[in-house]
Amino acid sequence: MGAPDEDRFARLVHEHAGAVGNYLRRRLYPLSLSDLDDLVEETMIVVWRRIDSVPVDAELPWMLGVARNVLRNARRSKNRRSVFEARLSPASDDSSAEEHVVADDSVRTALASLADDDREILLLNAWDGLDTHALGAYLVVSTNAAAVRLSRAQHRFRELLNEAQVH
Amino acid sequence: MSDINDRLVAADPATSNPYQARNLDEMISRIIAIPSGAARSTWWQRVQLRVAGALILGSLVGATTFVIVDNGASLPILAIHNLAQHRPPTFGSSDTKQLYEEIDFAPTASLSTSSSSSSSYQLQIPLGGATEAARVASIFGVSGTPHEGSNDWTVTSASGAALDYETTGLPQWYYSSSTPAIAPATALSSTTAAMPSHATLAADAQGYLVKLAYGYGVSSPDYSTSTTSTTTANGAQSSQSQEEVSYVVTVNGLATDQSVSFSVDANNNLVYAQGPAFHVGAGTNYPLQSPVSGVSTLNATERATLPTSAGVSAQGPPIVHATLNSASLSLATYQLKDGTTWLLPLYTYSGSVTQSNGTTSSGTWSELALEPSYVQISASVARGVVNY
Repeated sequence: MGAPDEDRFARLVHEHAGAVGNYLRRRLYPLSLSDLDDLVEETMIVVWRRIDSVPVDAELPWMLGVARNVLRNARRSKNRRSVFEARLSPASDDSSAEEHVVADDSVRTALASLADDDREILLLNAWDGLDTHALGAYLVVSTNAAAVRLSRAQHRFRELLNEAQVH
Repeated sequence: MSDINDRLVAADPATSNPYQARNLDEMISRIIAIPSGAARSTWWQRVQLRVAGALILGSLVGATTFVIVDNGASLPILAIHNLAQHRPPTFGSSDTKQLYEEIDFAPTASLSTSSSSSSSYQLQIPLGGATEAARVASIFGVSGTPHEGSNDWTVTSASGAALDYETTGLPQWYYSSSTPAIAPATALSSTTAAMPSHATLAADAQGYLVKLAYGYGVSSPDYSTSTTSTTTANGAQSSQSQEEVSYVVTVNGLATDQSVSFSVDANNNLVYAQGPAFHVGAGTNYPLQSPVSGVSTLNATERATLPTSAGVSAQGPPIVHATLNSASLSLATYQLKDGTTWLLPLYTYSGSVTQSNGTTSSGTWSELALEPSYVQISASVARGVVNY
């Protein structure tokens, strides 16, 4: 492991630790804020181990993908009761976090009704700021495919939001 | 879509409370100080530190071998495959230790140098996950057909009550009286209703334990009251107070790393329960190393499992000194290479740590109490690192 790798790793951490931390922060539930620093560091350890695999044109989406896996693994390990209850829930454990933290009732209801894939791409765009190119890298699909999926998710979300506001 | 995006952005929890990174340069230094292949997850490290000394174990040696003891009898060597991953130990945390520090353990005169012996127990796991799931479910009043998941069987009644029987490692059962509509509950700080007495809850728990008929004992009841808020399908919040009792599972009077708990609502209706599913066979008496000898083993495993190779850094990790002044014996769950699950004797040491800056703090560490010649443990650590 030479100095260029160390320099690149240091740059990745400085440039993207905030975005990775916010990504995890938004989806932390049912973990606690006290776990957040460990999860960020966990993500960075994987980045360091896989530094040669980080694509130069999609560094942040790749790192968010690692953060997603770290978070899933941590949820499985953290609290058996929460995991058990999350498994019983109709919504997947990936979705419950976003739904739970949203204070806007209509938005929360619409998010809860959205399919997991639609919700993921919608929030990656709106919350994490990934454009269609970055979404393609994150989801391992083409930019065009990501654009279509995002558009479809936004359309469905708008319909569900309208329904939620009527009731 | 700007209106929708505005609504979503306004709902972003990170907008009002963004992640505040701690010292990034320190984190970078910490991570690149270890070879990439040796970089272990911090999550894993925390688990590893809880069992301290890390009797952590990868794949192991194959055929069963035997050690002949003085009276001519033979005892099989216990080839440990891994720690059963059902739950972290209820004892044995060493939160005082910082990552990548190396601890030098030293016994005080109060630790015994005498060797003794203690029983190890091969656990009898219920045969047939679906059958056992249905049996436990019926005890909690859940009726339905067991459905197989990837590592579990779930029975769900029309009312929403559910029983999950997890089959990985040492099987565990979980009962919940209701199915959360969207998200699991969040804890609130205050209790909103008068709750059943401890005696009532204890009687409830004993009644269920008799019906479950696993035969293990329980001790050290820990009572707690909590109020939780659950999000329903239409986004409404409902609150419910619960009284919980959690016991340490015991076998022949010794505490184990297993627990069983029961929660009831204000009307004494069971709302949640969990515990292990096993029966205990006759114990096999194994020689133990003395508590003082166990400290030497603790030091050996510390050296073997932390990244202390010369290539790590010029100085190596900082060394802190821990003085151990008492040891208690308990039983911990291990899975052997042959697939059997055992409860093996464990020393849990208590002591104090002196950091390099002179500050001291207390801590506990655990080490397998069995005489080492009866145990085969791989030096390589095979789990804990997630591959992406």
